[in-house]
Amino acid sequence: MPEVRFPVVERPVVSVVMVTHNAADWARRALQALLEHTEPCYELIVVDNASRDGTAELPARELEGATLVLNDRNRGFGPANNQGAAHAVGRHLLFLNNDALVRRGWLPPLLERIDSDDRIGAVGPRLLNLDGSLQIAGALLARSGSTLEHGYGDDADAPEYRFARDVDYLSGACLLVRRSAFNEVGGFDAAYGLAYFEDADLCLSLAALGYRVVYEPRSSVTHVRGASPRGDAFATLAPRNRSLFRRRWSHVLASRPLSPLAPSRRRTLAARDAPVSERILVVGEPPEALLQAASAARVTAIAGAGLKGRLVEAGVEVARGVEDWPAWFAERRFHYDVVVAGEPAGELEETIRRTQPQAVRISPENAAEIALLAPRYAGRLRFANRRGISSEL
Amino acid sequence: MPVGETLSPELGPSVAVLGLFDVAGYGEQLTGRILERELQRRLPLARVDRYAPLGHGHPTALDGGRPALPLGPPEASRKAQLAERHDLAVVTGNVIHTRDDLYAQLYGIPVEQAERLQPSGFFVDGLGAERESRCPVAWHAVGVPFDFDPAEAQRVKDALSSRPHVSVRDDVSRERLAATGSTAAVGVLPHPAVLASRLFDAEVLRKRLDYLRAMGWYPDRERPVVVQGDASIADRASEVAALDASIVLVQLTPGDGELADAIATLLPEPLFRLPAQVSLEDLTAAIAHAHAFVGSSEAGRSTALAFGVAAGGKARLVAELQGRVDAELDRLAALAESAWTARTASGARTPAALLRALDQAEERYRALLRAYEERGERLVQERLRYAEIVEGLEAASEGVSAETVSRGAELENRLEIVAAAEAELRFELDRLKAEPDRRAEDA
Repeated sequence: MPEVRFPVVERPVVSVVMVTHNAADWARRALQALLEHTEPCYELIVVDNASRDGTAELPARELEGATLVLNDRNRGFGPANNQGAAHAVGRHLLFLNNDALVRRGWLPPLLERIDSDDRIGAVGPRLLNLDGSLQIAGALLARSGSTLEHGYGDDADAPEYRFARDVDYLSGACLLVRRSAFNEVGGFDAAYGLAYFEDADLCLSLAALGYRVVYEPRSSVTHVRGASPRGDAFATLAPRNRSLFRRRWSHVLASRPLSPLAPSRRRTLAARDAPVSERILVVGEPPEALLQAASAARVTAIAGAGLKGRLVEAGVEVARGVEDWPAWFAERRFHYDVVVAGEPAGELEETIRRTQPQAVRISPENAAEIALLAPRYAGRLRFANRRGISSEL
Repeated sequence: MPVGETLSPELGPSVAVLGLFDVAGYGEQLTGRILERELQRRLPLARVDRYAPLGHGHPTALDGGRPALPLGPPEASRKAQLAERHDLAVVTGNVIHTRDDLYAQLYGIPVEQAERLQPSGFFVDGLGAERESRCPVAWHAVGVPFDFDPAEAQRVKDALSSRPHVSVRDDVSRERLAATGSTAAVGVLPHPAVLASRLFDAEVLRKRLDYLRAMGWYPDRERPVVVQGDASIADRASEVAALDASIVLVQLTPGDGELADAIATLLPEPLFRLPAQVSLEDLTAAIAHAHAFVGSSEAGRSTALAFGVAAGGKARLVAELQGRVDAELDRLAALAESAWTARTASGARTPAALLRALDQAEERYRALLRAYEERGERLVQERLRYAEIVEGLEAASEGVSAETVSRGAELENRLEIVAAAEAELRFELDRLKAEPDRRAEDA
């Protein structure tokens, strides 16, 4: 295998941290993909967790330009990532699994998103399976602490996975985290041991301090998953860690739907939109003021064909081509806080009244009311007095 | 003002804190963060910026992703910019000297570059008399590491003449300033790290301690003696070795690492050691949970005191030390506010009293928003429950009540929780049973 030379960047924007454990071939491929598809704005830190198949020797033998940390024992995913982060000087940390193959153009959208708002603490891409199907478009949480990979097995290009949105948590397989925020929450919690739920815990810790955790679909990464073989201990770890996670975050999970999520489309959508504080349904083209607020609220538009691209780019969920509107609304029963629609809302009027009796109704012509709505979402409570990053940086 | 908008930080005073916040030193990084936080706490809606000679041009892992701004060379335009932007500049750290060539080794740059950078142009000379009438420069807990030659002494004496406030970190520094012939009042201040216990959230320190233990760098249960690996310990190694406790070796300054290996051979087993690459939170967690701290680092000793850890065998009242630092910071905040008030009196910005009222209003606004969010969460929970009921009734056969449907769904959810809790308990039990085997293996 030819030597892989990573560029030495004096002032990296991103510090990529990769933890390896017994998956030499995949690690090699992941590193090749990183080198091939990433502009030289990063430093690479590889932490090996006591590999026994030659993976530990791979960086020293085949890599140049990377910082190497070797553990004599498997310290676990979270602690090893903490170790890597302690070497980082970049503005952001990018945690990348050794079986995560980045794709062309993967990094700029993530950086653009995290730099667009200093309240964003973490950003993650669409994760794809090897066959190109969707693996996860942000993760969902149920009240019991169980999780669901949103969109697993679906068409990765389906519209419902193509708009950026705030999520409960993102997979640690590829996770961009603001370095100052990572340190502010104390990093990954070693209480989770070797694996499972440490990424969820990190994301909820960020949210507890007022940071946003955002899914960015313009970035795609293929994740093999399970490339590192797991021993017997892992089978008992997952439920144990779920219990620990649930106890720690029960106050947040109280606002999540009951489990199981998967069989119920309604529960899945409720979990998907749980992290945002306001949900707005717009019948027709959303006013400009709401487009600006779309990044922090859930704005769903029942809109015409010509608007879709622009709306999705703004973070709006666009509902089009729905054949069964009563079923569509039934899946979203009692879901919206505000409905922006003319009176009456055409053929949807009765359905809206029946399934969204709790929603405040605003006419699209009432610009003053809409203008009042928008700024509420632009400044979330926990950032009410947070200072922005100096303009000199 | 729209409900969601916050008050602009440009309304309040602006303070520049100058120091060596771009080097990988525990004391330097800690001091910068403490000053930033404490000044912001005292000044409503203040903006506090940390500056260092190279700033974010010399990032270090220990800056935690919050690098300082670069000072750059002490050109007139740069000084004018800082004086325009800020109401007070506070210089801190062991920087009162004119040996700019020494920064070459600190930053790993050629001597010529260090001399062009000329940090003393800011640290000693300040911003210039005329600019300092708008933006005074104070020296806070500074250190004077060398005796001055006559030329240096004059330069420092001239600088002292325009300092509205000067405090140093030790008696030697005070004596060196006095030796310049200056009659400026100079106080000796405890190290700002005596306030370290205010800087970090307890949960964060807990997480970092768990991490240190998981990595095998810190004992699992007992409180160890934390030892800084510096030259002074070599003489005291036998004294440290006689302590009946585990020892954790840490590196707090860039120079510690070279001696840590040698010192490790002089200390008894079990010996734990934090690697050089750890975070500010890791080092603080290690000291905060120690039985005692031994080392020459004043920042390390002061951190230990802040967390009630015995340090150096001297028993001093932490409250008294913190009170002295607090009083000094109160004076600095007052200086900043006074300069800002004088500046705004001639302009259109809001005076200090109104700013305090605005801050109180913002506090009420935050409380309202908090209540609003909590109410929203309760509403979401209720709506989820109703949706469960309606969906369940639609799917169920006749005669099933809403209560039955709702209760059934909740019980199913509860069963999952109980199953996971059982798994957690079994995991802990298995781990306890395996512990004798693990200890035998480690031995």
